[in-house]
Amino acid sequence: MTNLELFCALSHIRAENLSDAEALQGDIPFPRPKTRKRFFLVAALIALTLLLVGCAVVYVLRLQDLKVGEYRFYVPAAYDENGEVIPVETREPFTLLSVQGSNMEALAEWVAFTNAYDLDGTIALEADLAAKSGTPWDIPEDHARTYGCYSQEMVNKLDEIAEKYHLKLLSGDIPFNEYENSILFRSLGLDSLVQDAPHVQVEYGDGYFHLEGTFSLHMRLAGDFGVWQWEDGGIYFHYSRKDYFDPTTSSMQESQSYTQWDYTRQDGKTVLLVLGTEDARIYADLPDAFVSIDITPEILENGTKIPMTREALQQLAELFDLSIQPTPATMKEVEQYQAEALAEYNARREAARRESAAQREAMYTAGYEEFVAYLLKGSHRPEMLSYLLYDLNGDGIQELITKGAKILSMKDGTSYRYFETQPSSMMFGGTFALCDGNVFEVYAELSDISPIYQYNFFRAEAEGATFLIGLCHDTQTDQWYQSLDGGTENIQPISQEYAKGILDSHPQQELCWLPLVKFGQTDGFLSASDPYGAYIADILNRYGDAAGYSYALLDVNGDGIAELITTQPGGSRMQIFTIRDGARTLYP
Amino acid sequence: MEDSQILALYFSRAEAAIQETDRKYGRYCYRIAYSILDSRQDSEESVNDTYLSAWNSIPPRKPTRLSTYLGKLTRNISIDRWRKSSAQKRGSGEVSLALEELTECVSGQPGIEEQMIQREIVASLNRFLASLSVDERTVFLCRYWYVNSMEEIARKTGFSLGKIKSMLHRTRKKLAASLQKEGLE
Repeated sequence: MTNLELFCALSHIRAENLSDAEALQGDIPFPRPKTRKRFFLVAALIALTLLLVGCAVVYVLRLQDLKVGEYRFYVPAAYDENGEVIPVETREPFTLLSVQGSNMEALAEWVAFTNAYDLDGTIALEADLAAKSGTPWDIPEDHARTYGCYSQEMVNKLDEIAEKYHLKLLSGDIPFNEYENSILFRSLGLDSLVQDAPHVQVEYGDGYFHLEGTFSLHMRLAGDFGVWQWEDGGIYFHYSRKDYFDPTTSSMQESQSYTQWDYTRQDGKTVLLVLGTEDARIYADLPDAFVSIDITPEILENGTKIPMTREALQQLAELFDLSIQPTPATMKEVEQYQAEALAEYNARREAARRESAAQREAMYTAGYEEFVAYLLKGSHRPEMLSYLLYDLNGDGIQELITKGAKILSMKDGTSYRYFETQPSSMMFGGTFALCDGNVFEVYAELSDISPIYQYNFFRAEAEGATFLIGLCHDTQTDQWYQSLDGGTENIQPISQEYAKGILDSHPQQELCWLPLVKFGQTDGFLSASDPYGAYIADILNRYGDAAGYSYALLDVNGDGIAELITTQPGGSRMQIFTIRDGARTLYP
Repeated sequence: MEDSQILALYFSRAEAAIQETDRKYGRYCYRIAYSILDSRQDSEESVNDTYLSAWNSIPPRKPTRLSTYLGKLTRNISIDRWRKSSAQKRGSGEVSLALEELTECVSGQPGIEEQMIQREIVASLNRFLASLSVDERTVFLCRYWYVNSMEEIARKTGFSLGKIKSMLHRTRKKLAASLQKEGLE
């Protein structure tokens, strides 16, 4: 198990286990807004090698000049059984860097103030309690949103710093998603952030901007640069107007080595280039603005990923348009662009949905093999998919049935969709099971995803299936419902006995599922009738690395039933199974 | 408004259900999302997604504790968003620290039969949590469910920061032993 799997699993613990911790959440102060930080894992200010190349003009900017403070992580101490502290490795602080170039004194002063202010969170707590008790929140919106102020004292300090350094304050940031990044370009009157280059394709991502013109966004670049290529190069572009106080910081770690040098572009503009093992950056100190560009430090050479080179970074530095002049926007304009972008996005989604639906529909009539290929291609875990061929309705034609309850049949030599659960009916998909008398069941028992279990029964007819009856079981309240249409909305409560009667009247048959990745193979499958043998046969049939599995049989608890103990390739995970009511189940 | 009244709004498909949910639990959900995402925009979107999920799932669900139900939805949605975000790649934020602490409880090898294994893990976690004292359980879940900082936990529980750290350390050790014993580490 990974730490993330454990972290996610905690979401599904029982409510009674959570109640005491939940009771404490109401009084925890509102999370303190933090200065927007981006962590660039480059660099050593201390033990660096400075290389000055490619520049005839002395360009004074260096990373060291941008330092405005430090950000220290809290590292939890470890304690032994006696309560004594166990020494743990401390975490190296990040050096905070201004992204506002020579106007960074204001930020340095602001960082120093906020780092020392309200260390125990008392003021934040009081502000939170006051807000909860109905006291109006009188912190100016822009001071709170852009600069994280939550007290009048912070507001006053911020105003004082801005006045001292003759800087104006930015309005609240306006975030935008990738699909609506036209808002940025239209609002600030920008066409592109890169020069015309036929060998380069640019995709803009998400980001944020201020009405005054300061902005940030993600980009992806692809292109052939001759000896090297970029397939999906990630870029973070930040443009900061110098006459406004920008609270954004980037950062670096001082333990890592890097090189930095000036580079004069073909248009005469000199930029600072920084190259380390973890990052590559371009800085441009322009008359009115400061531009910082963070670049994925990897390139492709003959199809192989290699670290970014000095030459490649210099080529990239030529790409960006450093003559852009964002024009201030009004909120009214922005709101208009937002509405238009949303409408366009919805139209695109609808068109894409129709196209996707049309493609999917076409797959149903393309034959069993094409449909299987389509399913395998669309799955993250194709080896987990299963199928069987079975004549569901007794007409002499074998239907293709997937374990996920997609069913195709044949008519006049063409395949067609015989059955598929409607997305609106099963909350999280379903599993196919065969019952008696031309009846099949689609059920979902996903306790880790939803406490609602669903059981829907259908009768296999000549060219499709008809819905017979559906059940829902809320496992948290243990309440059963009858579903009138197979969904979870049109339901009515029923007794447990009534539900059990319906389930018992449709017993599931044993099915021998085959791995979909081996569709079309007519032999070579292993089979076994006993539960352990069937499990092992399925592993051997399904996984390419099945030879790496191992097992042992051992009566773990001395009850006379041997447990099956399996390990995956490499011994990464052990599982123990036992037999209960004739079926294999996890032990205990 | 009482939870039962809010639930009644959901069941009558009245959109006021969302407004009342936001009024009563918006801040609570936002805190959960913010603790994980450390981003105002992402947190607001996660809370909105929470409301949409609640609207889609109630009915038929009728949560016995609306706050817990909303909290779980928010946590799941926020974790999903966090996993997709660039912030995760940068390794920043309180959730990264919490994850780092949990590393000592697990093997680090991903499971392959995720659904099946997750069921076992949840069952095991419930057994483990039930075996803890109230204080231990509360502190553990404040840290790893709500992703509260240790300073916040100390402030709310009244325990010293040192005691919080010590409790968490011991509880993680116990969890690691419990998972190992059940073959789930």
